[in-house]
Amino acid sequence: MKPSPWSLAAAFAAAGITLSPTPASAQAVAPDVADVPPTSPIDHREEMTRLELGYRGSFVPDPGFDPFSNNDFLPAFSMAVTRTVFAAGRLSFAAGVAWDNEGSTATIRGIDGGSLRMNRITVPLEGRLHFGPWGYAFARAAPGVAALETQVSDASAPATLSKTQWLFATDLSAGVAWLVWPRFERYRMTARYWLQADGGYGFVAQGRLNLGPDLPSGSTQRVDGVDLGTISMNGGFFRLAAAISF
Amino acid sequence: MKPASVIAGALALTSAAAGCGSRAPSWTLPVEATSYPLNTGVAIVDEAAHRVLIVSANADLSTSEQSVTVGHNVVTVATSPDGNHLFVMSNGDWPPQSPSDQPPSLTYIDATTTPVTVTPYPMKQPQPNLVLDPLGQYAAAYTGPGTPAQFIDDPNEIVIFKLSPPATAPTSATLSIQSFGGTPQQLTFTPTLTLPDGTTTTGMQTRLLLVESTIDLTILDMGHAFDPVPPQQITVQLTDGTTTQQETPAGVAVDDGDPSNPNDARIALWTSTDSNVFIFQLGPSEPGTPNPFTPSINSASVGAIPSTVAFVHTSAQPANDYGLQVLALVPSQTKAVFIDEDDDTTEVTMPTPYTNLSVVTKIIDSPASGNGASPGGPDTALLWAQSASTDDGVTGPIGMAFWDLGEVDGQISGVDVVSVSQPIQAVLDVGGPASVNPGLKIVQLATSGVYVLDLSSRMASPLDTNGAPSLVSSADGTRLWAFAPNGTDLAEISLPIPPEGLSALSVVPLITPMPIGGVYDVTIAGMPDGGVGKPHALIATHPQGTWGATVFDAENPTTANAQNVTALLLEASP
Repeated sequence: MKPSPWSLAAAFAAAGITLSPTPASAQAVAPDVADVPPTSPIDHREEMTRLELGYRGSFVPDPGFDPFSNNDFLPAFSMAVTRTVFAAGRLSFAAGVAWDNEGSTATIRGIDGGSLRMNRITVPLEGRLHFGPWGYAFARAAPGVAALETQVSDASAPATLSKTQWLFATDLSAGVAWLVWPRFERYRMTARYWLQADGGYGFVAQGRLNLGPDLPSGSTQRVDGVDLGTISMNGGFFRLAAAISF
Repeated sequence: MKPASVIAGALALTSAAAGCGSRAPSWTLPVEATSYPLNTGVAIVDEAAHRVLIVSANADLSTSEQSVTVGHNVVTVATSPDGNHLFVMSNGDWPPQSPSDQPPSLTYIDATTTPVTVTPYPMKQPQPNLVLDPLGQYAAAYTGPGTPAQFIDDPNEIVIFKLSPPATAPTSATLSIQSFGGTPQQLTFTPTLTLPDGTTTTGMQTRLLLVESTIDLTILDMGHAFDPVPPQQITVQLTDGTTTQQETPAGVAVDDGDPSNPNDARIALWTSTDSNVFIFQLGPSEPGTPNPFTPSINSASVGAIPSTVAFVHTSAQPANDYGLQVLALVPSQTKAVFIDEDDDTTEVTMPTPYTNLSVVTKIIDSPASGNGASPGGPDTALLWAQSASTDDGVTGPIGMAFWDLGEVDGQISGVDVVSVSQPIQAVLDVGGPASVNPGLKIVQLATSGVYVLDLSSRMASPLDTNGAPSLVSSADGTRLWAFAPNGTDLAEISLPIPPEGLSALSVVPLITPMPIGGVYDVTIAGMPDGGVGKPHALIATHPQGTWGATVFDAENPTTANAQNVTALLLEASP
């Protein structure tokens, strides 16, 4: 069963509550100037493991997307886990894995239903420029693959017409991450909450929309599918996310 | 710049980009489609998308589609009698309100080429009715009866299209039919006639367009219809001009008479409002007259409104053009009336109030029939009737019969009744060249059942059906397809090929996965003619969703090997 965005968000919030050892009132009386590393010199606002959950909106202008969308907009639930692998001064570099679950449906010619779902699994490679308690700006390249599932339900077909195809995908984006809380005590190993936004362009290799019927196994029917041409899921996107880091 | 400002700016830009997308309008159009036959495929008129989708069958029983753009607001679609061309007449965006609005037009699609050839003919005003030339040279658009299509209409304007031979540019002519108060109701292209040319004794070969109005008949010489200054129109009034009586044209029959005589071509016109049959003889004009021929009109009363009229030959003697006469069936009085060249009438009481007749002499006497060719006459007529009522209120018996016409003396003779005892819905021709099936007719019964009628042996072979099927004959005359409209039952009826008799009839039951809208026997694309004609496929359309079809091998149809194609209107999305 696929995790729903809401269940993941709830898990995300619960994790934050569990891992947060310091109440908000305590953080208010802990100024950065007194932030002396007691045992370790690691700045946990730069070197960290982050879990992001958010909303991604993509603009896909390709005509091949038209059967599946009324407005060329592809919404998505977005999740990523990254780990800082290098830090030097105000710069750091992180890598991880990300998953975008995207879907859209539309009515075709007032009769048919077209639906598209894409699971984009990428490896984000992220360079960060840190601004102390404000957070950081980042540029991200995320190569990976996308599983594109397309379906058309048509009364002229004895079964749903569908196709699943794996396509190479890469996201290029830039954005900012704002450290919400706690913004100080950088050497303290604790849960930190972030809000972030980025925008960029997603590349997906062109696919062919030659959908075939989902006939039951053993069916002897000879049924042609439908060829809707090609589809290119390239397009600009934005992403709004909340993150927790350790 | 503060980070918050950067975030706000980035979000604004990306959101704006996401919001400015648009979807091609074709995906939101409703499906309003109708299908029409072509020899090479099925033409699906996708009205909302302003296009015609031509679906052809491939050798592996898959389909190929070609989309042809047509005008907005299609009003009339017709296939040419030879099945090679499609006519799509559109009102356009009428009345025009912007420079980009489309004018009315006729789109002429030649399906004999790959890809198909499209010729648009723009028109000055919308015309709802289209009449096709049976010989494929011309077409004509006219307003005809009914409510005007616009605020003010000129019902006397007709547009004539020249289709053959192909011209470098679309050729059409807009003519205003001279009016004495009537409006054109029905147009008919005649076969080639030999008419006086004003100079020679052999005359000229030409064709005419007959324009029947509510009070007169206008004759246009098609040989000069596209001249920069067309010749003066010939109009003959049906009434004496002393009354306001209006006629409703029912039909015309044309006969060239003796081909070597340019002065004996005749036109018979009958109406559904008058018991008179009007007969026009096209003779030479007086010197100095704009047209070299002129019609003389006579009328003969047949006692009641005739159901049909035809020219028939009643004599085996070449003299007097084998006894050429006009034959009118008058079912309300259970009689037939012959009108000779002097407009004298001879009534014959019929055993049954037959309403329809078809002269089948040439079919019966063709070499393929084995009966030997007859050069002239007398003719054999096939008579048939649906349920018909007489003036006495008696519903007459129904059925069909052969009538061997002979010397007309007021007594019925030569009638050979065919044993079809149920109400007849239609009598259909079997297509194909004369060498294949010249002598078969399909008799479709009103309730259930089909007869295959052999004109040569005058035998009818019955086929039982569950309900009243729709019937489609293959273009090559070797098959008949029967299907239940909106059902999934389909059958191929293999017709006998001479010298086989009706006992060679065979039926192959088939079934489709979806309800059938129509069936079309088409040639398979890209296949050569193997000497016995191109191989054929049957395309059964399914007007569900965005239309599908089941494709059978027409020569060897089986349900197991049929290919289903789906979402046709999506596949070739405009």
